[in-house]
Amino acid sequence: MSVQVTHDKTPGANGILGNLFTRAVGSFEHACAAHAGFARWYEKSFYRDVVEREESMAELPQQAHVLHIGAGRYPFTALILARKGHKVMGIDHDADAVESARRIVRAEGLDSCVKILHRDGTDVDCRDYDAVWVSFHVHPRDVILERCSQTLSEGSTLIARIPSGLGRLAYGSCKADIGEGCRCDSFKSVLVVKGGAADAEALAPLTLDRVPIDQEVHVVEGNGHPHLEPLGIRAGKPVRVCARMPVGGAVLVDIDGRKVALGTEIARCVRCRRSMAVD
Amino acid sequence: MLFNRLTGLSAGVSNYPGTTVEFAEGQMTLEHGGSATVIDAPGTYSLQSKNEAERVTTRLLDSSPDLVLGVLDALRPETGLYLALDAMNRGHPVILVVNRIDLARERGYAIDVKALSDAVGVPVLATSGASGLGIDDVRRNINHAVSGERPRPARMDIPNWETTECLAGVLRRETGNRRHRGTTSERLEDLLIRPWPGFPLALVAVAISLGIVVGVGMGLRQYILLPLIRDTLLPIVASGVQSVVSPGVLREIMVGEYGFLTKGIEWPLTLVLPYVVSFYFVLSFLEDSGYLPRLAALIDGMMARLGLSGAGIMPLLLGYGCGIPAIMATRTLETRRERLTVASMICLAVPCIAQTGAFIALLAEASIFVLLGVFAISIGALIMAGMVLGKILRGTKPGLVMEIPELLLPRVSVMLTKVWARAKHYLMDGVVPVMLGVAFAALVHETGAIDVVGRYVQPLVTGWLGLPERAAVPLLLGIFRRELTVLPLLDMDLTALQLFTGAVVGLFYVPCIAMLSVLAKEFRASIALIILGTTTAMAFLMGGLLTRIISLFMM
Repeated sequence: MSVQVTHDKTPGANGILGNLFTRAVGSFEHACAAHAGFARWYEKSFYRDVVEREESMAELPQQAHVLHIGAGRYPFTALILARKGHKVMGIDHDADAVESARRIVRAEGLDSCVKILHRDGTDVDCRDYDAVWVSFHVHPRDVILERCSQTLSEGSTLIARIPSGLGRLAYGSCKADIGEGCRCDSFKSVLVVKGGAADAEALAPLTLDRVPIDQEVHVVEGNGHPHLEPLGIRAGKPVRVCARMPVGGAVLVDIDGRKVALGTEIARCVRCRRSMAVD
Repeated sequence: MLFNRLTGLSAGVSNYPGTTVEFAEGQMTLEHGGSATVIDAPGTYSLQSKNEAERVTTRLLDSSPDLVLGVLDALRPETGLYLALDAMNRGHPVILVVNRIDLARERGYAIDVKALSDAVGVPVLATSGASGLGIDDVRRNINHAVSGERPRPARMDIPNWETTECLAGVLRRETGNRRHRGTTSERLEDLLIRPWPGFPLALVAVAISLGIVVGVGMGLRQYILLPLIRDTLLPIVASGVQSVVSPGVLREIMVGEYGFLTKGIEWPLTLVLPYVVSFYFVLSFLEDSGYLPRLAALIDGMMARLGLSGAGIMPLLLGYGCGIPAIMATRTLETRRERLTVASMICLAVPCIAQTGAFIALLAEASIFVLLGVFAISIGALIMAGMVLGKILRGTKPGLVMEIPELLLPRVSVMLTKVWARAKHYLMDGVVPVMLGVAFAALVHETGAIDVVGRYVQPLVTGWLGLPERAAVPLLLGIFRRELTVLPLLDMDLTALQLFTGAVVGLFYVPCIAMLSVLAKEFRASIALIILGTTTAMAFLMGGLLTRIISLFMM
């Protein structure tokens, strides 16, 4: 399976903002590690929903084997999955974080279900896992994602948390598209890829809201809005994105010289593929 | 345009999709004396549609017309062709009209109507609505079809886009000698729609529009209408009445200080009419240039925060002219929830131009800041109302799908026609109720009935709002015309604070009776009643609260 993930080299990506953000996450996890009550409240009120949504998208079997890359100082995801009866292997390349995570797992009494290892994500082998979670702030993300999707076995699932919105400012956006044979869903900033698709070109389904400006793509599938087809947004049609409004605004596309504005939600449901070689 | 050519009418034409939300009907004379009713259906993209405007078209087709004219845009024929094929599939007799062929030729396309006609088996005609080319041909064919055998196509399959595109290819072929559009206009189109500099330019456009509405309106008032009406016409009326009617209550009611033949004419004609003219001048420029859809696209992200789509901005803008077409225009919105939200926002906090004219007269002389303050409150209330309604109303969130038309320089004649239509409408429907309202106020005032009324409303008007008792009358009249809540305050020697309070109450106060009936028709009577209650309550609540808050600061 060949994978292409391209990253925006926008100024500031992984720069000062990214650093600041990573540090903020670090100190937040520190706080969680120090105050168990706060951590539990946070887990209940926010994190659990996120993980449950991801879990349902991944369609995990009972007692699945899960790998989590970038488990962090307070391994929320691993704990939540373990409480649901899954076996989790968490890895992190920060020795301090591994130390802290192990302590918390022990304190929660889950050390039979969660193992934390000090490992680097760039050379993992995902073959033995039913699902692989990739954290939001892993680095270098493109290398890790590529490695994961190469080693993922058929029927397994990769869940990657992709920066969107403000996160994109901090980490740079991750653009990737996917071949037609690969079944995938995207929900906001999470992308789910099933392993074993023969001609998966890349990771994320390319939707109109993520097509780079001025690049021509072909529509694969619309979303059933009754005006899209009459306006020319139909399967197989070439489309160019001319502009995109900031903070969740409309996407302006050009089809055969006709300009159409689409709300982000609509654009997100129009799947595209990159146009093949210029002919 | 084709419709106007066929019937000699002047139905509104704008440069954005969704201008027509209701069908227009006109007569066309046939060759042998009879006449045919021509119905212009709202533009639509499909016959399986979601929004109300498109449903109007579907219903029209269901009423089995004698003939359907399927009008295709020569620049993008497949959209209309698909619809026409769909209509044929449903067994309607169809004639295809390919419009704007002059433009298509300019862009380097050859149009072959004969080939398409052979392919689909119904007459296909080429026209240009703008220049009138081919209109006679359409008439002849309508004549022929209505009097003789109708063009019944062989039963068609349900159309799909592949065959439609194929047929469009039969009709239209690139010749290669394409003449490019002016690069400047293409460049401008790009600039207006990109976030940078589209957003700042949008602000500039709004500021210029406001400036023109207020500036031109004031100019019209100062230099044309005041000399004409107040200084020339009214003295004649006054002396005429004075020579006939003896001094007394009747004469006071007619031409006294608040007489309906003096103020009742002066107010609508010199305070409101100038802004009606300047507003619709600006609005028709925005409509015809094709800027409004661009504005909708720019603002979509912000409107999404209110649970609306960018398309909602158009009815809101129309509402600053008059609430009735604005509520009708909500038909183009996709979900009932969005329609209801926008309609309520219009009723609550969008002053119509008549009321705005009254505000300008009332407040600008006291202080421009009071005027700006009232508009800031209007916008703040709009946002709040959107947020609250977004929480209350259930339903799916709408998504924007909007075609962005090319930018065109509006034709002055078309703009003038529109402005004239609106001004005429105001003169016919707006002036007489205001005169009657002023007459009523004068009657109440002169007969002393005001004291009786005043006693009942005293706690509310004087106690809570801090306005003089006489201000109770405009509140009663406001239900007939929105400007009547504001205009009578003009000559009451109010303080700046009282003016502000009066204006705020007027802003939120009940929508006029005509708007309520449109609301009841478009939605339900209960919804109209709820809106009536809410706006009235809001008006008194906000008016009283703001008076108290501001007087705290002014101490």
